[in-house]
Amino acid sequence: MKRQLYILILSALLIGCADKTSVTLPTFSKITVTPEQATYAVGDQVECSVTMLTPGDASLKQATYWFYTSWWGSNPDMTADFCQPDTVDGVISFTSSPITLTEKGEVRIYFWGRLEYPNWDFQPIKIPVTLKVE
Amino acid sequence: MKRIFTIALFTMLLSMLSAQAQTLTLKVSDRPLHEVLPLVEQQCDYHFFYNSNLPGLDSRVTVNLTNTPLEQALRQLFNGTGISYKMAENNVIVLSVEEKKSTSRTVRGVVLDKSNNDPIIGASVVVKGTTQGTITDYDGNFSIEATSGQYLQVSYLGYQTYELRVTPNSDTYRVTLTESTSELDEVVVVGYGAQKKVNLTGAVSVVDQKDIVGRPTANMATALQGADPALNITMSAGGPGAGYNYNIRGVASINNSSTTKPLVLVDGVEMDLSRVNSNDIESVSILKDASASAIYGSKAAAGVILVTTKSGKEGLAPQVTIDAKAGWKASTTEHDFITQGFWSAYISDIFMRQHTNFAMTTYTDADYAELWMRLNDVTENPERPWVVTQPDGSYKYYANFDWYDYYFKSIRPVQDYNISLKGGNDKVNYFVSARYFTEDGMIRIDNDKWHQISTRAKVNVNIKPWMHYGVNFSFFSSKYTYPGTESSREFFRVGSLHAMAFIPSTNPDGSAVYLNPWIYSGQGTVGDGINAMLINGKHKNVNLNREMVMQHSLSFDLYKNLSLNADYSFTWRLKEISNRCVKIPYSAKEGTTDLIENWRSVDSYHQQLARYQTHNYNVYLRWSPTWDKHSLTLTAGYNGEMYRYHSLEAERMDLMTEDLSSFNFAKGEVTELSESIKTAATNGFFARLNYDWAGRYLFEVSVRADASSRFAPGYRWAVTPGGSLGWRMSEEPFWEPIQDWWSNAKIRLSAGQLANQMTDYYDYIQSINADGMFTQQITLDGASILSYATEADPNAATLTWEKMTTYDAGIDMAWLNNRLSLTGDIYMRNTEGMLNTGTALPSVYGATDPKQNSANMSTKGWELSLAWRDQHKVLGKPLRYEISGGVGNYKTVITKYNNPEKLLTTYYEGQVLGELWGYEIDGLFANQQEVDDYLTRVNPVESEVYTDIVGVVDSKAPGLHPGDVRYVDLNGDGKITSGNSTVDNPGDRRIIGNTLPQYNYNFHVSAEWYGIDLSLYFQGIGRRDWYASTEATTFWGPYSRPYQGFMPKDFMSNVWSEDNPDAYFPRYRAYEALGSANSLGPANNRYMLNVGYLRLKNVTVGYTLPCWKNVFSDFRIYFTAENPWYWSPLQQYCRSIDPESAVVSSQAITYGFAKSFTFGINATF
Repeated sequence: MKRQLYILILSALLIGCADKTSVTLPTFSKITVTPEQATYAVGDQVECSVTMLTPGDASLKQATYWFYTSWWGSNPDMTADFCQPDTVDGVISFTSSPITLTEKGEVRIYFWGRLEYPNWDFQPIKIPVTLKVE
Repeated sequence: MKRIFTIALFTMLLSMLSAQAQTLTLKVSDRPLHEVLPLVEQQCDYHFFYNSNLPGLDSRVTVNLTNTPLEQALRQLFNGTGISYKMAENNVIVLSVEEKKSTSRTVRGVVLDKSNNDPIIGASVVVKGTTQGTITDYDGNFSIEATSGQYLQVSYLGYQTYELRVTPNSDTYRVTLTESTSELDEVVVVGYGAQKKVNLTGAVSVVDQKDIVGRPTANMATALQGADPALNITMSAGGPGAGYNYNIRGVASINNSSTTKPLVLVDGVEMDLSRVNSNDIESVSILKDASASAIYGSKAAAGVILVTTKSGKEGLAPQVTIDAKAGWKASTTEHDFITQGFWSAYISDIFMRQHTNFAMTTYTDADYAELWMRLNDVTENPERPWVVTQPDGSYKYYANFDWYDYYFKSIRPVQDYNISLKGGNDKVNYFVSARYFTEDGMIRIDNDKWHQISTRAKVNVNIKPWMHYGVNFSFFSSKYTYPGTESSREFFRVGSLHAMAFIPSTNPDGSAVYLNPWIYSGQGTVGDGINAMLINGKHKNVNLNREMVMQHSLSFDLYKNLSLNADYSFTWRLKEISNRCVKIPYSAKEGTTDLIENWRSVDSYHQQLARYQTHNYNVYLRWSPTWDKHSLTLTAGYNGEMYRYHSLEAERMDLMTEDLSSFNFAKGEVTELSESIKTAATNGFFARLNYDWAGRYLFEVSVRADASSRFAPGYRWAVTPGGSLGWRMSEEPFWEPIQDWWSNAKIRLSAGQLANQMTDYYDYIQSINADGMFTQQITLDGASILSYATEADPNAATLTWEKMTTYDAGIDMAWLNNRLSLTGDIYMRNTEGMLNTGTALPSVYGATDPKQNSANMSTKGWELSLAWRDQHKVLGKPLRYEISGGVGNYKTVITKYNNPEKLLTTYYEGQVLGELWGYEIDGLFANQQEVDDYLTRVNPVESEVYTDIVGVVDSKAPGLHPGDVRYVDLNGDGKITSGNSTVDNPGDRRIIGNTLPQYNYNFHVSAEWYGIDLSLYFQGIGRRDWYASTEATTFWGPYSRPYQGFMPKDFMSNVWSEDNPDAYFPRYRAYEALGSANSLGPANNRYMLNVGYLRLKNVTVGYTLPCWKNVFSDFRIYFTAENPWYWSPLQQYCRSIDPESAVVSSQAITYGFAKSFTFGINATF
């Protein structure tokens, strides 16, 4: 009896702790920065790309992807760098526009996604990469 | 030193000689010791000095002394009482507890019923002053550890408590208990007197004092809520100083229903429950039927609530009681609103776009990306600021702002301190009390605060054995300070408008956010300026209430059983309201400050002073002869009342400073200056005769004649009779065989008439208003603007009293030695001659039809109360417990009303009061096929309910679509309309529910064990239908206004989409609930909600400490929670609206209802 009770409690806890997301999200590679360098200088331009590894749940209604940086937030002139998927040989990838590094220090570039599933189930994608700018 | 010693010795010697010289002659038999001591004092020069709580003072003594020396007399008197005495200096005899020489031992005994010597099973035996106790077994036997000199307290439900002293000589005792008179002869306060509860023939219920005293609430009305199934109390809000509506057995009249309220008399003086200190209450009686309340006449038409406050007692040494508690309050409901800027913008935009084809914001995809990236930023991330200053200086907002948390506190402190003193002797008794109550309100910025002080002083003096004087003075003062404009209520709706989560309250420079170009084409005013107003912090409001009641009473015992009573009371109340407004600054661009241009942003000072004065007089004779088995009480007298109301109100603009509020600083336009004076007077004569024969056949008849100044001469008098009969079957000889298990059985029948004067003060006089002023600046002399007078519509001078006739049949039953008791009533109340628009006059009459006594209605209902009281032994200690509950219901039907066409816009004959007419919706369109099928049967263009859907040409998708609500064409005419809004042609509407509370019920459990007490008090309403109206924004969300900020987090999961076809709400579209032409605006069965509820009204757990008995006679610590839990069917659809606040207004916009948790101590010494 005790055993059943433990199992019941454990199951309840597991269910309670489980991720509430019912959909399977697509998976992506890390951000590839071109040119790839250990450090960059202010004024350098880079291009970022991400590859989709798995497509995720087919119920996806709409997806929006963009690149963004850690120093654009307070600058009204810098907005999200939206990108469309580029399919080559069945591989889907996303590439940013050229990004000019304007801030010194450890800066971040993000790949963001907003995935819209049925019944207003919106899921985020967020992949960062940190660059050292001198 | 020697000299002092010699004097002291001499004094002592003298006192000893004096004691030896004094003798006593005293004969008393079986009287409590505390009553005998004054008799001793009368015969000698000595005075007793003792603590009134000294054990043994209640010991019954018998002495027969004749010229017995004082010392010897005292030895006899105190023998066996457990009290020792010491003759001290200054002719003082000091009494103290006799030193216990014996050790604890087992004492045994048997407890028997005095009437038949049957053993009493389960009687409680407690060693007094300790927590040691036991209960008797099946043979009535008990055994308990006690020492000589201690007292055993033997009690059992329905019997008088008995105390016996453990003596050194005996280890076994035989205790016989007498049937308790406190159960059977419980006295209930009724009109102009008191009656034994068992002899009542009218419908009177008594609220247990324990249910009221000690509740941490500023307003006694909340403590009375649900106390009786007949008493319907609805709080108008949950905030400090909130008002309330109440009735007994439903609304008594549709005319001025808000003023036709039950009469509340506190010690015979009319008062508001909110100004009564609940800790002062001794008892509350609710007179429910006409026969019980008829003696109060003109103001008792809707029933009477009699509140009696505590008094001092003869023979009671000064007793101080302190009750102090402190804790916190919190909202009863959840406020888990959307605080993510992305979602608030997204929802408002998609709803708005669907309605008008443009979005609420002008945010681009890039802006939405900004919001999305901040989605989970609880606080501002330096990488992603919430406010981004644009090149032109304007601000763009990407916040995740919790507006509800910004405006309102989730918990707030409450404190309640009470102190009282009471005592008395055979000449004077007194009760004095004071209370300080304070609580913080829920408005976070410039927090609103409530302070309340109340005091009472009650003194009764026996001037002569035949002449008694009493004075009863009470004072109440409350102060409520709050920010904002006059109505703090607007915080709860207007404050949320355009206050969406992506907008923060302030700009980076600290200035207030109000207008910005990104919302609603620059017209979206954030919080309608309330946010900016709070930040500015200059709007101040003070509500002061002061009430003083002074009552003098004099009574004369004229002859045996004949007394003359007279009292005069004066009530003075001052209400003072002051409101200060200033111009409100805000900033829409960096470095600029503008002033809000709306009615809140004005520089003004407003003040209202209102004074209420009431003089009340009562003179009455009471004659109560008894002979053989006959008991008669005749009460007859006069009651008069004079009332005067005087109000001054002024407002002036443009003060010289924002920091001072006085007309002395105002230099601008006087926008208001008015005075109002109202007076009223009533005179009444009353008489009541009560008769009973052997407590078996009961009879009561009363009559009252009242005259009211509210009616024209010739129509002023009303005579209202009442009568009732009772038969206590259980007193009949034939009942004897079953008396053991069926303890009490009574049948009651009553009928009576009451009259209602609650029309306006001067309704019978045609008035002239002389304060008109031409706004067009018309002058004769070029300077003074002309004023003018207007004549009001003619009145019907014949209007007179409304009459309520009530018939009541009731039963009072008790079984198993009163353990189980039941009270039930059925009743009918016919209200005739209600003042309303009378006979329709031809249109050539040219004015509004005057009011006449033209409408009738009838109420039928029932009430049932059941209680079980008992005690058992648990772990060797007695457990006393009580379970009680009550339920009642009523239905009111309009039986006459001048509405021959039976228009649904007003009352009509046959209407059930509260009935809700609405459309029928049989679901949402699942797909286009269903829409197309529907369009073949119903033309939405001609349907009132689809006007907005098909009529807004700018709509993104005009016309019916999948997800829209499908109205049923009940009358089959091919369109959904309200017909001509009559009963005969209601269009496609039918009666879908009733907005009045049905099945009012309560449930109470209490228990005491080993010094621990627990009380649970539930209260609820079985059913009450509610249709959320246009501005119930937390229910409708964006269907009401797409730009409101308080939107439940899970709201979208209830919105229809092709992915969510079983959703509760239809497809998203703004404003659909905002008017009768919109699809959710008119009442309908799909969105009608049941706001019935079950509420745990109060839970209290206490522990009476067994220690410090030499200091405190009682010391209790306790925890009490008010409204800690509720359940309602409403919660399935909305958890942010309390079912009671939904009733306050269909919009459910009100100061949130609160629960409180407090810890307290209660000490008596």
